[in-house]
Amino acid sequence: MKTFNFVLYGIFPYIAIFIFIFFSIYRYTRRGYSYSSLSSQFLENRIHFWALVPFHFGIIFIFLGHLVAFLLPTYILSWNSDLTRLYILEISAFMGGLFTLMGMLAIFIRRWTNPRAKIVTSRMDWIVLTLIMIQVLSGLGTAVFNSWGSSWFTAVANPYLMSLLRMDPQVGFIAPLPWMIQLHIMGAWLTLFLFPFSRLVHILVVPNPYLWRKPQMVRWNWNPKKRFI
Amino acid sequence: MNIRSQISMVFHLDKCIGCHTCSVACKNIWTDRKGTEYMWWNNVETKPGTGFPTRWEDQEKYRGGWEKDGDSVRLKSTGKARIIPNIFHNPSLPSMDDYYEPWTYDYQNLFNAPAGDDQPTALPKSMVTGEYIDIESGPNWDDDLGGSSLYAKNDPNLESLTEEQKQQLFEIERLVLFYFPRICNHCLNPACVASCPSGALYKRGEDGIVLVDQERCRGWRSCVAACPYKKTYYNWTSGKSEKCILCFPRLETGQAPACFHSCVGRIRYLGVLLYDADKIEEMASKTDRELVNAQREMILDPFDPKVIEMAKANGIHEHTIQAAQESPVYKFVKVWKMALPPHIEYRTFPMLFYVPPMLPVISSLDGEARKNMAEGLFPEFDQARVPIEFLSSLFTAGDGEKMRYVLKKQMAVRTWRRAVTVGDISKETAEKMLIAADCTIAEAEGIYHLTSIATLEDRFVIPPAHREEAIEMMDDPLEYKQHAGFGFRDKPTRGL
Amino acid sequence: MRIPYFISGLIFLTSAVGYAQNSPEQYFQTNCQACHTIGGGKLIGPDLKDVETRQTREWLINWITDPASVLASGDPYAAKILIEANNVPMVPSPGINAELAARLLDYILEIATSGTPVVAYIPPTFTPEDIVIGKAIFLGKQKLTNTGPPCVSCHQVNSLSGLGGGKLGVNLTDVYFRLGEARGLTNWLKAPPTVTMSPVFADHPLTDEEIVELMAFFKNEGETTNAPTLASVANFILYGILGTILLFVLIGSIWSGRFTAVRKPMIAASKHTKSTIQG
Repeated sequence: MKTFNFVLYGIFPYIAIFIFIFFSIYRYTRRGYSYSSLSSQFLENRIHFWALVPFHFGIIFIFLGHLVAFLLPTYILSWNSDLTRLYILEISAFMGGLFTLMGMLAIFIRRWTNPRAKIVTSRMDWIVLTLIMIQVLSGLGTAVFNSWGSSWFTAVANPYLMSLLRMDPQVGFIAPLPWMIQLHIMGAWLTLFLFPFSRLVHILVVPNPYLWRKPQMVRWNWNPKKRFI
Repeated sequence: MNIRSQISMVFHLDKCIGCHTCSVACKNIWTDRKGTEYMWWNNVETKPGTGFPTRWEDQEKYRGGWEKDGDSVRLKSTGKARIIPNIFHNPSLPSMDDYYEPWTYDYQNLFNAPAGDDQPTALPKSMVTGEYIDIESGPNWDDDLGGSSLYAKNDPNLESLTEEQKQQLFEIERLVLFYFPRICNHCLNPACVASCPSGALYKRGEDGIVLVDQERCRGWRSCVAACPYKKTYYNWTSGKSEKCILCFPRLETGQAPACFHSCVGRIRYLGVLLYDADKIEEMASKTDRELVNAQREMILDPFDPKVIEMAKANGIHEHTIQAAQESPVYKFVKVWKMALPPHIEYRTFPMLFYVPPMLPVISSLDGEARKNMAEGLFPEFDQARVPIEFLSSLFTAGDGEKMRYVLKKQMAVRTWRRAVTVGDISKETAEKMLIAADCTIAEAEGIYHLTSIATLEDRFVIPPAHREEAIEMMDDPLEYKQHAGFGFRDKPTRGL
Repeated sequence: MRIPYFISGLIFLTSAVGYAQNSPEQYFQTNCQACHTIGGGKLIGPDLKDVETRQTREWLINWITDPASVLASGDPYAAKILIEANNVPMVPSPGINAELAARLLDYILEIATSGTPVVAYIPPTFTPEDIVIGKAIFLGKQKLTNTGPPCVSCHQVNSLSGLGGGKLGVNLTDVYFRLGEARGLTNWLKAPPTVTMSPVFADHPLTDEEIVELMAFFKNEGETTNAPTLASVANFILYGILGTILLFVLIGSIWSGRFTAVRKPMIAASKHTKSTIQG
């Protein structure tokens, strides 16, 4: 059991991170063409709104929440030192999760019932969708039955993740936790593992320079300034 | 001054017979792949009609193009920071239902159906899902006023007409139509380029062709929403946008684009224009009625020594400058002022211009009597079967005067040539008409020549591409049907 | 840094190895003495002096390594000591194995026979201020000196109103009496032995003062009877659902002008107004 847990939480994360970084870069350089949001809004745009908007806003909110808890644990703890504020934080996070869940359900329904959306859904899409669904459900379950995660995250997940960064994985923090939380953590590493082989890579190419570039783009076959020099 | 050259186009609507040869030529070369079946980089619409996609000119709904924003312009759809909250679901993206679901027929059933009492039929089958579908719409669904009580009546350009004019337009014996062939306008201020979050769309420096870099496109589909002409299309299977490439592989080898070359009515002209790229923002932010002149002002005289000098300093090849001097487009647009941009009020400065049609001006029905409208010095344009407001709404942002100017000139040239060849009108009358239409005899002869008897070389003045001077040479000139051109290491299949 | 271990050893560098390297004395202090003494009398668990006179070494090793299984097997002696311990089952010991268990038994024997004097236990006195400070510590209003997380993160006490405390850990309302009052609880809190708490507090132990204050709070909790609040989970979910509905209304109104369709509505509208071509 010990060895099993160590492989799961002490070794697999490194494999997942390695696969994520290496194959994301590999795929970008070798088959950058395949990096696309693969949007199907063009094929079906009614349920699309009620599915994709809640899902994306929800999951980004939740992701940022996890990130803040990881980067600023003391800040979260002092915020939570007042019970009302703790409740506000927990209910907001739960709302974000439910919002995501509703979006996920709509995505499943849309992809399954709309023939056009279904035809462009690959097997990997279903795997990734299911995986994220498990993440959302286990996250919500944890919020309800194993509260208050925003506080104990700092005591359990933080030192665990930090120990991973230090290359000294302390699985003792994770191994005794209830199965729902373990599922959540395992799912996270698995998602990272599958990331470069799925449509999730579109996250890596979110348009950031767009906000600063000039509106019009021109490309030359020759350098116009040097041509006659 | 930042002089650039642009391969520009003129379509002479008076000559278009609506045969769709151009559309078919284009489709066969470029859009017969999976995911592109519904795309018509070139299509021919019937006016009045709703076009493709349905009512694309209704920018209240489609929100394409630019809107004036003080001394500048901003995208109506999702420019700059507005892309962030709108990237998950583009709020201005039309769906396939507003184009049509491409289909084929179950031809095999004609051969394989078991023997029976009835003739076997080939049912329509969706090319997206592969399931049997009911065809609800298609390209040219309203061709030749088909279903005019629904489609033609919903033409957004009719909004500028009075109720009476609308009623007259749809009286059965006065029904009138003309064709409106459309390709990508390769605009000077393209909304698609400005909207692309990935920077995949760009304008080529040498010839101004607007292209989508397939390797950089990430399928955020902003360009589809931003283009007011709906000439960027989303490939639903590759998850990338595609658009008219003005057959640049043909242009680079000195051939006219396929739609131009195949045009039966010879309505299409292609040539170089020189323009001042520094003025785009200033000119694009003028009021609607000023825009036609603003665009003409940006287009520079290729014979002006100063312009030539500046153009050369800017890296424009002397062969390109030479082509600009011979350009039929320059004559139509700038010298004769006869070719007008479509919907200039979208502020993208389209570089495809149209000579408006005047066929309905020749005669009209007045009760029982057929009235020759050329009886006076000039026909009564205001009583024309296609109301001048309709044409103005299409080509001059509603400015009737500019439309009258063009129609007058065309009329005068016709009358002049009738005086020369038939002789039933005196040359004096015809000359009077020319003067009144701001036209000299020499100009009239030039217009006649280019309109009626121009050769292939007159109509298409293509500058040499000089790819030998290019930084990068073409990778592999081999292209295959049903493949997406060259440059791919692997087959361009849909990503995971 | 244990990089070399990691690299060489997808084999097994488990934490068990780490524990096994500790001396049994150290291990006993961190993991056993919260509930057990050697000759000091019963805490939560029995006094371990003479333990080997009560059961065989084989049974004890089994029990130490996996108490849950022994209990589940219906062993009568195990059931008996469970009742004696106020039904608080023996917690699994982190990193335990048969070899370590044997060494622990050796250590217990050694201490028991060496006759180390047992220090008399003096119970602390609780002031009303202690209860107030204890509650502040429990809720996280007063930070722990060694930066451990506040109790409320994972634990509930019945007196908490609103949505209550955390549910990852057990309800602590009667913990003072359940874990052997001041003597037992002090030992417990000095080095929380459960597998979940042990790693969290190993590097962030509670101070002696904090332990006294917390115990004052827990004692007070246990003495005042409060019915457990069951509504908190339902309320939590309800607030979440209401908020989600609000969010849906919000996005619906923000994007109320979004593009949906043009062609189909146009055709649908024409079917209502039966327009025909006039002629």
